[in-house]
Amino acid sequence: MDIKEIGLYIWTDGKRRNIAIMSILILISGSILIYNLTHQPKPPPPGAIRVVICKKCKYVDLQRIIDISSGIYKCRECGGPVGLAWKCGSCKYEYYILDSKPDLAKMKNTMQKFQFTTRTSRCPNCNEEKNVNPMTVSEFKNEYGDR
Amino acid sequence: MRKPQQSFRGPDSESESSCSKFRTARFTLVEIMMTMIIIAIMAALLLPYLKEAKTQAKYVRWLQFNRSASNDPDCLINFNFQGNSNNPLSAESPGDVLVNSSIGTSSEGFTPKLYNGYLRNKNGGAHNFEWVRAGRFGRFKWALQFNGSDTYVLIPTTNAIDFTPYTGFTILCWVKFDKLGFGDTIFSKSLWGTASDAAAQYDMYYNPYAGSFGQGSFDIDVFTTCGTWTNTDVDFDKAGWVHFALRYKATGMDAQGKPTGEITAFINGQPLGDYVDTTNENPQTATATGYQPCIDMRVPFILGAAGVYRKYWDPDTYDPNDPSLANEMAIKFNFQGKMDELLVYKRALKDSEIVQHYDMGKE
Repeated sequence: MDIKEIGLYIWTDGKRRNIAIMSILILISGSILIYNLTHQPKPPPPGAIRVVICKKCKYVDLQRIIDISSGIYKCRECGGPVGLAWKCGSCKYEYYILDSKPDLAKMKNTMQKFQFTTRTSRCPNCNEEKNVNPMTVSEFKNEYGDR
Repeated sequence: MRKPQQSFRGPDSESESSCSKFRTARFTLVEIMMTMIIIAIMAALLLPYLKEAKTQAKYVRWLQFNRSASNDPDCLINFNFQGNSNNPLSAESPGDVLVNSSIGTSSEGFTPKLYNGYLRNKNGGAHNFEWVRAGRFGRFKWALQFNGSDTYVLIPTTNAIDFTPYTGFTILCWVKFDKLGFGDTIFSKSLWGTASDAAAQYDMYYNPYAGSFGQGSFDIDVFTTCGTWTNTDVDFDKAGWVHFALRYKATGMDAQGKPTGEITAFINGQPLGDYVDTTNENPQTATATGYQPCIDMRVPFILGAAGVYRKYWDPDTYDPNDPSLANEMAIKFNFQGKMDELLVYKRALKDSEIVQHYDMGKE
């Protein structure tokens, strides 16, 4: 049987013809479906790369963070919880800040609100209030290289 | 041809014959099911493309609107975050510049290029921004990911955007927060913490502690006013892309000859209404907060962080003998999230114009 005979064999019988057409349609649809599933443009990962510090072993690391307060971020070394790393500009101590609720009555203007922030992020080592900042990726790379 | 199927009506040959004839014109259940399944598969394949086509149409509509905004004679800065030819990588300095596409400004001697935004790292060196195809219109729109620790955009030239209380201005932007944090500053032209308290020409930052704790709230500083909205009725962590607008409208002079004006903040095109003037709650700062030090010191406009007075915030690195701006000013309160459009007008836009910006830009 050559290809022409096979074609005639299928085409001349209505049932075979229907099955053949449907099979071709299913094959085309399936191919498109598989192509689409495998060629979907991947959205970029959410969140930003931040410097984190383990609350247990103090291991400093880079992680992509959306919401640090969610508690889902774990230390790569010991599996302990991590917090955003802060660094004291005076004594260079690295630490994480603790959540703290403000005394609303004491905060009236911008400076007072920011002074509250500085108190919550106060360096636990030298008690510095103002010159404390989140540790930056550049500072991390300078200190730890490509950890 | 389909074979006649056996009748269930009995052996009546005439009725069987007519019935068989009638049945040959029908599809079997299996065939109908198969057809329906194929149609469903095809529809399922097509729907995402239809959705994407709709998103693309909205993107094109926004892009045209954004271009028309560039031709507005009062539009000083228009960062659409798309760069040249749909690519954020500008020819001038790949990936490091937000190109100001404003072209119609009527200001004398105004050069749009001087108001380009430069991506910076507050520690110096290469910036740590990420360009992501995850703006408002999915993969069609670029956005800039601010990392909340060292990223900020610097617009170094100040002449045209040194607004005073005698003239109006409007700043509009689209922002998506990763997670709101205290002090997340969207934009600023400020020197918080000068000897005379917080000098600020204008700024906008998140402050969850104003008013009732836990409610979404924004603070703004405009000239001599520090205002806060206790409840914006928006859950910023879940809201996705949010449109902000800050408008100052000069209204005249008071009895003492001082300029007066109206400040309005808009979120998603809606004015937030009356704010709590925290300057008045603490009158001793009323004359201290202000814009003049920012103009005198040529404090730059910054996106994604606040300009602060180094002598107050970081005295160890402050050199009293160095009058340069780099010595006087430090960067703090960096914002973590995405931004994908920013416009600055040198007039107070009407409510309807701000709504139009929101409508044209929303997903």
